[in-house]
Amino acid sequence: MGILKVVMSNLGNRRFSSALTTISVAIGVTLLIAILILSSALYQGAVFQGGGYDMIVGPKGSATQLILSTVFHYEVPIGNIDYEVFRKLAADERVTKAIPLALGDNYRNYRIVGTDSTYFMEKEDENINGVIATGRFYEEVGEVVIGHMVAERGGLKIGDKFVGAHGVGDGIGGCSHDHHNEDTSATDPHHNDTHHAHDLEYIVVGILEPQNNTDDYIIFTPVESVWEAHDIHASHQTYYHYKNEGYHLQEEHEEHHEHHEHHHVDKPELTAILIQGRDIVSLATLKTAIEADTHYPAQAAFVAVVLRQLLKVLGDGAMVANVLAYISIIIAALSILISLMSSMAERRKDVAVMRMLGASKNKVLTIVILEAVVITVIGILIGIIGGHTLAHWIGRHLQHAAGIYVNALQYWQGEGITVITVLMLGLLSGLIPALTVYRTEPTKFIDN
Amino acid sequence: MITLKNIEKTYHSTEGLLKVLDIDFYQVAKGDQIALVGPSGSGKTTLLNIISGVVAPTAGEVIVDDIRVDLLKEEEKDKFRAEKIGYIFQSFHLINSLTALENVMLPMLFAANKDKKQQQMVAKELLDKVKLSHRLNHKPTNLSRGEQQRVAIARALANEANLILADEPTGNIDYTTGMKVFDLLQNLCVKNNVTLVMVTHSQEFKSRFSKVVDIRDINKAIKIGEEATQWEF
Ligand SMILES: Nc1ncnc2c1ncn2[C@@H]1O[C@H](COP(=O)(O)OP(=O)(O)O)[C@@H](O)[C@H]1O
Ligand SMILES: [Mg+2]
Repeated sequence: MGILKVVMSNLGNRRFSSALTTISVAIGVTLLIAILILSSALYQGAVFQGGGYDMIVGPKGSATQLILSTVFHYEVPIGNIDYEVFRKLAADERVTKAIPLALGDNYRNYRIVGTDSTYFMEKEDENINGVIATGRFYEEVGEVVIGHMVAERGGLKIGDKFVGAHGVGDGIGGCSHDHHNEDTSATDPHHNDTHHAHDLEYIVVGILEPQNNTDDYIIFTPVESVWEAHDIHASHQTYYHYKNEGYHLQEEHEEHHEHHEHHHVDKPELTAILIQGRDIVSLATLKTAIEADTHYPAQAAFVAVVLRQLLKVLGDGAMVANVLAYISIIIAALSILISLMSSMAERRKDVAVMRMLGASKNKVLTIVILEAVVITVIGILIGIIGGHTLAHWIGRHLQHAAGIYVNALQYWQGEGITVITVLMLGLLSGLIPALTVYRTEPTKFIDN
Repeated sequence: MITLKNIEKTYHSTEGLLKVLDIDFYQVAKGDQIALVGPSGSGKTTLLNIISGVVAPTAGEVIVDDIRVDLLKEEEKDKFRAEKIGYIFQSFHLINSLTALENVMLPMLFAANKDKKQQQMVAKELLDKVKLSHRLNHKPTNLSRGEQQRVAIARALANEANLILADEPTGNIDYTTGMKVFDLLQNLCVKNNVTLVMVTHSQEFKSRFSKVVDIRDINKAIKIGEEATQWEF
């Protein structure tokens, strides 16, 4: 028989309170681990997703909203900016890369985003089909390439045709135009045709490789498709063709305006432009220039700056959650303490007997501490499994709602520290009752 | 086996100093069986505890098996108790969360001189000797008083102690059962050449011992006739 046997049988003798204290430890650890995983994953996801771009240009308004709605496809866009802004930026020598984004409608709550192939390319000469899992990249207006989760969950496959529903959808956390703020409605081109079903029929021509970010939940199409869907018949050719040809975007507009009762914008617009700049100085002067332009009003937001603010908010949130989780752990440790203390009266006699039988003070000290440690360790083990499971489960919802990928089934940095901290607390909760028996004078608790 | 020289034990109480023991010299030979008698409060338990090293004498020498118990350090006393002394209590004091077998194995865990297999083997043998082979995995609460005390006897013999200190071992058991338990204890001690010091009140038991010692004859701290007033419980 080993000392652990004595410990386990003691715990077994108080099955109910042992189970309760174990559960309380397990709950605390579950919370700690889940919060750790989720906040780390969100942090990583945010940095990863915002990584590529220096600056986002969009309509004047909240910089945070601009970044959330464009980089993360989260929240509703502020509104639109004139396409002219893009033309100027694309030609600007301070800009190394400018990617147009036009948020269109949604299909089953998957956002339809108009952009061009540069969105997917790290380098200019990269083969665009590298990001395509099946099919090919879009070439014509109306053609779409879908994120891999759209294919998986949205049930779309190559060759499928569909019509977009109005609004950006709320599948990625955005809300429909019905919920639009009043102040954004002024610049909202769809303000008056909330229930209008668009005629443009999209066709799936490709499915993207898994990106493990929000792009997995997006339907991509040429910018012109988005315009087309909103009756800005710029062209049935894609941007690549007209971009070099000085294309006239407004020529078909007049005619269309008469055909519809709805008000439509009379010129092509973009929701945002993703910018990579030559250097920080160029970007700074560029930002000033963009925001000073009164003819084409726009704002330029530095991704890093906004991201830092966002992460700070995220960090604060995680901190509050962490504090709560630690409080629950401390309560768990206290419950171990109380449970051990309340059993000490009866245990004193056992300890005294053991001392009379030749158990050293250290042995009885070890026995009591081990009781707390065993409870803590079992609680931790359950908590680790529970925490990962919880994070995995929440992560799947997060992925669907915010597109942030949470790999909960791996070891996350910080878990080790968490486990050690909890173990220490458990040890401490055993140490106090252990010291009271340590000092027990054996003869005092033995009645003869 | 046991030699006590100039033993004194004084307790500090609210009413001042209370001298419980004052023994000039007393000796027990190896293999002896001694019945220790005396009224309540005459220091019998205290004496046993001093012999086992659980209680330190205020003054004097305690020699057990050539070991100066009073000079041992705390951990050495623990080891000494685990290896040399078997204790049997009036109210058994088995560990309730452990089975009969585990209770017998407990002193072996403390002595740490056998592996788990040996522990189990020895414990089974001992429980067989006290006729409890059919109760190995019973918890104390599921055993009768007589059975519990037999487990306690097996436990006292676990480390092949050569001295058993029994403090009114039959005090909580009915007469007939107590007699059987006592027979068992006495026989096992004889068989294993174990020295037995047993506190008892019962006239029946006294007659079964070759040596009966009234503590008042060796303890100068108390005189015959005084105990009723001075040591009232
Ligand atoms: N730890 C102690 N502190 C103070 N007095 C004690 C303590 N232990 C025993 N005594 C006193 O010593 C006396 C002898 O007690 P004890 O050895 O238990 O006698 P017996 O076993 O013969 O009944 C009693 O008066 C008792 O109150
Ligand atoms: Mg007594």
